[in-house]
Amino acid sequence: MIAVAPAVPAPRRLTYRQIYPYLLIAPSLTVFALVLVYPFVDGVRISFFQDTLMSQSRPFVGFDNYRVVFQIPQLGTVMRVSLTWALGSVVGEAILGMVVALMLNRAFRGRGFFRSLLVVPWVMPAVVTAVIWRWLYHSEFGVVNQVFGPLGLFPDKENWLGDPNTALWAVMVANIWRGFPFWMIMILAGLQAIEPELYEAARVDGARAWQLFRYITLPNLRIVLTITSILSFVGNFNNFTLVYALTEGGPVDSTKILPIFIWETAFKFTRFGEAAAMATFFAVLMAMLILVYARTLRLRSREV
Amino acid sequence: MATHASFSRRNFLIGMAGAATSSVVAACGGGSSAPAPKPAPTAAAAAVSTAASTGTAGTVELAYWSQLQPETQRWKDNQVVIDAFMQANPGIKVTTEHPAFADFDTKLVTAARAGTPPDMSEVSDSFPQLAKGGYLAQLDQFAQDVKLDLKDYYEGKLQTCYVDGKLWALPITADCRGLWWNMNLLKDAGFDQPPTSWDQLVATAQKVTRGGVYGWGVQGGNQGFMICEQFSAFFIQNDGKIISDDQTKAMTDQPEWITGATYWQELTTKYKVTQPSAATDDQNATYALFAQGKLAMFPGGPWARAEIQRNNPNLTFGKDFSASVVPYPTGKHPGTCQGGWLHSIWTASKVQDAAKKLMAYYHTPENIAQEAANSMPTRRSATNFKPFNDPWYKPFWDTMPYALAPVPTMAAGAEISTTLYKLLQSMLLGQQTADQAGKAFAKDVNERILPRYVAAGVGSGCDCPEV
Repeated sequence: MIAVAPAVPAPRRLTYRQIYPYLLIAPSLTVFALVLVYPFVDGVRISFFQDTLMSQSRPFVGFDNYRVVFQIPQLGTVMRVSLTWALGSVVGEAILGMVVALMLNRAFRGRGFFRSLLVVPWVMPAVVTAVIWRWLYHSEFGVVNQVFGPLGLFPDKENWLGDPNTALWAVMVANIWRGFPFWMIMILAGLQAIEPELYEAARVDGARAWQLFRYITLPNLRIVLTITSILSFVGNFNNFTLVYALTEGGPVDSTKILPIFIWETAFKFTRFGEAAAMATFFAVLMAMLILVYARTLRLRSREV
Repeated sequence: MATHASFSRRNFLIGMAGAATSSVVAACGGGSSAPAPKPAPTAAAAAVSTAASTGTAGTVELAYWSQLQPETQRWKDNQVVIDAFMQANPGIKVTTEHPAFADFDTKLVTAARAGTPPDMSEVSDSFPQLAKGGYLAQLDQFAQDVKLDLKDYYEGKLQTCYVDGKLWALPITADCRGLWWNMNLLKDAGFDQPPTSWDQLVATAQKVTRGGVYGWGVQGGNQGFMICEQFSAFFIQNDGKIISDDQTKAMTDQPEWITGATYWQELTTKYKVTQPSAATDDQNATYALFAQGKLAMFPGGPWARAEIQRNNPNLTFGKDFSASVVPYPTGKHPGTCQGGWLHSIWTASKVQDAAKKLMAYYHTPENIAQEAANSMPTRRSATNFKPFNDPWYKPFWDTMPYALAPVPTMAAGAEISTTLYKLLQSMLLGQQTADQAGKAFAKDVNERILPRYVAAGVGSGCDCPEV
């Protein structure tokens, strides 16, 4: 009897054609790993150590930093301000971005010029935006008071950034001005993908402008709006520069959003472990919120 | 297909969220892979090292960081010293960096954790933490080696350079504040002389405040200036303290502090003589308002003279504006914040010998006088040089013996100052009285802030020796 060895399949050799796409994305993945993944993982690691500037020894403390962070009395106020700030900015940017995108979607002379011009606030460095708005809001020299003062709508020489009742809203307006072009671009791209025949058919059926918007434009923009709102919320929640440059989180914590609070813990009080614990917790929390949001919208879009 | 597409998008979005937030996390620590600074050299090693550096051939590059911006006169005064040093030491090339004033301390902390600090720099708020963490070189032996006369330094300022009884820095400027007053505005209101007492200050400011002109300028938009320039004078003149001398408890619930704080608060909330933008104005805004004739008086350091004239070159000192002692309560004494900057050498520096040479060169009386020309010097012997022997400095010299650091050098200093700033903002906005604020602050410091530092094993204070 002759024993027959079972046939062993020859190892499959990867072809150049199969490897090629991975080679193309390798540089981006490397940069992504170095710039984003490594700091994130290291941040999570730091959150488990008593890490301050005052000592070279950094003992492992488990979840102590997380426990300490949630005992900070200020954290509740910071979260309330952060959510108001992020949600308010998203809503404001979305409305303004939608209005401007709808206007720019129409054919008119100079449309290309205005499309370029309206992107300027978005590409402008946040610090420059802050300097501009600081002077616009200045109670003595600011244009805002010079324009609205004579109308008697607000107190004379209102200090917009110095009054806890107005500071957050004032910073939000500056942020909406800076952020709406992102929405405008995304919505404009979405609008241009909608078949014109849909509008024509609806008009033949007697639909009015509002009905066209409600039943054709909005449903067709659902995916664009979902993605843009998530990106915008994340961007605004993590925004640091504009708020810091305008108010540094003041007056009296009225604009102290989470990134400023974390920065203060890390770089002013040099308690890196606690700051990392805060950042890690809220990164995970935000990822979960976004997951729920994205799932909910996906289910709704299936129902539609 | 649809499921696959949405799954990918979801992953993408989660990734984006995590990545965006991770940038904050990343900013919070240097990570273990960053090279840790070497421990501070022993005094003996430093002495040997310094001796060995004499006669070293070849050019070394020395990185020096200053909070002064290159275009300011104060930096130009410093550059003169550095240029002269390089001429005298052709083997050493000093390269300077000038991080923005507001971010200077953050930059130092970040560089310390990343293991990439300069060789020598000015240091400020984070100084006690940096010293305790071993990032700064001990200078006791250096001071002996170069025969530095420490007794020539003003005691109050030199003591801020000690942490745990050891010298980690040398003071480069030691400044106090004066009252800057617009002579024309006061004259129009019927005053030929500036106010000298609290009562006179209120009366003068009230009379001047009219038609868009305000009597008293407040710099509430910056923590350091709000505490130091603006607020401290009033409780220091009244013998109040923020923290006890032994650095174990807050003193803001004591009548001396509360009386001074109440007076300061009422300038805004009761007498309404401060500008409407007080809560957000920084020092530059105050200079601009004063130079434009919208502010009649404000407290500021000697450098304000150049800044006012930079904002309005038509103003002449002694004719249009002048400086005097900040008004103080009748029967009490002058007093303001004592500010100033310190010089330190970093333990991570590979050219510590060169840095020590620069430090020694900087701290001769002549060079201290040169670099502090628009501020105030830290050595008594430097006051014999121009411009400090000029009569216009007199109000500042009259104040200097009573000037104090509002918050002492201590590990908890940064957190105490930040909490105090918030408190002052709330007082300025009339949200609480000085009495309420002072008591709440004392409770917070005594029950929350200080115990945490003690529990962390870093103590609360600096244990400064008598100098």
